[in-house]
Amino acid sequence: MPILVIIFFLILSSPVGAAVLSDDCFDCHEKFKKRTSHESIACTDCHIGIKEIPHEEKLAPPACNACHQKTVERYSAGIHKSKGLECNQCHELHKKKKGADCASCHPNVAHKTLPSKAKHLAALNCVACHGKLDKSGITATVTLPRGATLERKAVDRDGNGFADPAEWHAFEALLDQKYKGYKLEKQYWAYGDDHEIMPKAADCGECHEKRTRFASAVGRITDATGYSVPVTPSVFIPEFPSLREFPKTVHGQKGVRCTDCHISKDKITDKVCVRCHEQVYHTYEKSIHAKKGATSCTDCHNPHLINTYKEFNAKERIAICSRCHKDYITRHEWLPNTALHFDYLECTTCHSPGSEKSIVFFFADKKGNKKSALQYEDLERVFGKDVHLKSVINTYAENIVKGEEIGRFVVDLKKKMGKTIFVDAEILVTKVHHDYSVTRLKERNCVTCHSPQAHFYNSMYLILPEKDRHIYIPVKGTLLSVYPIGMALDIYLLGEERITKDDIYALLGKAPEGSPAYAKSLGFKLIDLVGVILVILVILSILAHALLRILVKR
Amino acid sequence: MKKVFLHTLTIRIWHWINAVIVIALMITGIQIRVPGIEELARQMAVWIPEYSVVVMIHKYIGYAMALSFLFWSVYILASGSFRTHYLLRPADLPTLGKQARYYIFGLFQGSENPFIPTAEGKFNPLQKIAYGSVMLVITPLIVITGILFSDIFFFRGVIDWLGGVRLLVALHVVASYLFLLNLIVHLYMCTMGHHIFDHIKAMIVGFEEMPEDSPSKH
Repeated sequence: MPILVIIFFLILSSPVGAAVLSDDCFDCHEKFKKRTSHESIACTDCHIGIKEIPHEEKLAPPACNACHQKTVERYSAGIHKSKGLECNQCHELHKKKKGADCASCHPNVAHKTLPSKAKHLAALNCVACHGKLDKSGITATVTLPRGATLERKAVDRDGNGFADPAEWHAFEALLDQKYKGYKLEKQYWAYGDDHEIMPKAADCGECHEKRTRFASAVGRITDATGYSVPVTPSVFIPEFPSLREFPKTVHGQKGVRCTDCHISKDKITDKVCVRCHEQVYHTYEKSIHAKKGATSCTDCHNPHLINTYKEFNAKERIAICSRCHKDYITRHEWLPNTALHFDYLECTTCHSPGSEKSIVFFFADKKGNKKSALQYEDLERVFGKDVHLKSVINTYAENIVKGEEIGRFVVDLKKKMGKTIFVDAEILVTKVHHDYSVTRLKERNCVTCHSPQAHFYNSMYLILPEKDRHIYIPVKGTLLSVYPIGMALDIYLLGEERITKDDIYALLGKAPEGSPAYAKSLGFKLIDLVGVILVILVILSILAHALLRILVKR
Repeated sequence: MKKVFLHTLTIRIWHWINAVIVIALMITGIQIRVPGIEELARQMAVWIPEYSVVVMIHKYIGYAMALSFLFWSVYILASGSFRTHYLLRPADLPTLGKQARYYIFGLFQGSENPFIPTAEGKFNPLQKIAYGSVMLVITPLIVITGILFSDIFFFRGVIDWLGGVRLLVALHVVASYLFLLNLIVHLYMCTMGHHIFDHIKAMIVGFEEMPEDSPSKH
């Protein structure tokens, strides 16, 4: 009976269609018998799917993830997997040998776009920039001359537990003075998984600004006692403040990375800009300004600036030109009320004839003689967080706003924010044409602008501050003077109002009940209309009176 | 014939200087208000000064106007002429209608002018109202708004208090239209003397000759 039981259990535990012993494999694959790697596991642990021998000709790839699950997961997230590389392309799975290193596939990488290439390559391993890091940091080891000692206080002067930049620099100065022959060795160590290599290298800001890499640093003083002091990492990796704002810039928002433009450590040339801004560049290239004045794009444009030109007011736009044209006020002394003009215009309003100019309206606050445009934060305080101002002003959500709507809004705004709120205006370029060849304008003709025919009346916009940007909404109408008092009270261009024959005919042609409404729609133009009609009536009455006098000879 | 002395030498000189000032301001003012005139003049090959020049002229003649008005105010107050000639008295009111009826009907029917100008009272009630409104309301309004325009930075506070530049422009222009209407009527009415040029002559020589028995048609 016991024999029967043993046989029964042997039958139950026998690998019926399951286990193929490795020894069976070696019958054919003899060379793997002497494998030096993975020698303790069975062939079928990796080469899954073998149920019997002989096995099928085509086998599934070895299941590395059965044991190396985490590594495989990280590898799957990396660039190498997405390029179709498998484990065995770097790892010899049956031999005890380290996997191929980066240089075996990527020897002598040029790193053309890396600024300060030699410094970076000497200090960092590949993973430091190309991998996802588990740990990274900087260790600055100071080896003092034999026998010398230094108190902790020499490094951490204020005793707060770490050395800030001022303390560390003072410490280095002390070393230079009193500890001749000391050694300072900086080690930028980065540990990550070589398997998870990112498609694109880390951006400069990860080390030089946000510090998602190399976020900690420590100064290790190796004197008789030996101790470590945490140090502010910016001591060893300089900070680039412009990087902080860069993600908010137009370039940053559109996904331009540092190395897209900084292709070498040399100053950026127009060749870099032209790759994206080709058309504008070719227009500018031919202009006199490009040939004689600002010869490169960056002479005027700061690519690290958050604001686009549309967010600049007249004064800020002038500031760009006046970096070179410092004498712009004296050169425009011929212009009556020079300062007043420069409060409301920018240089290119006149000097770039191809540009489109518009009257732009915006909400502003007046404190004494100081005017300042209302920002989104100011309006958010009144209308609530994340307010969409356009829908507050323009209830029908058309992409055009009427003078009355702005007028109503500003009246409401005055109630909420005080009487000093008003609608201000400037005449700005809204579509830039980069030909600035027009200098020394011969035509100093006031009537070009001081006339109802001035072209900027045909393009009027309301600038609304929204979160992180300004939006331009077209304003209906072509004449300021017909806008309601609430809106256009403080905006007046000499010579802008006009009464046309059409207005008079239209008014006279209206049915009696329609004419008051029409007259109202004429706004301030009504003054001239009524005035001219009265003058004509008085002259006619006088003529009639004079005629009668002649007739009766009095 | 009797000589009725009406206008002192000072007033006569002031009147003609003021007239030149007013005409110049009117002409320049129209060009400022209607810039299209420049284009029109170019088409008709007529020379007119540039806009900026016109604006400047208007500004400086405007200062002259302010001085002229100041002089006139001081003079009529100091000489007592305000009380004598301009002040509308209760006695004037009943004659208002009579005077208006004369201009509209009486004149043509051969009636006599109910008012005879004398050194003691040179304006009839209608004239008192017309000159009073021009010299005491309209001109000061134009002068004050004009001065505020002369430097809108300097007067920023006042302009804001008044309600903005556009409202100031409206006031200035409305007052100018009223002034113009008065001027047109004034120019016509000065032909209403005994002879057509009598009133004009009086403003040059100071007195008007009137027949002993026939009062003026004033």
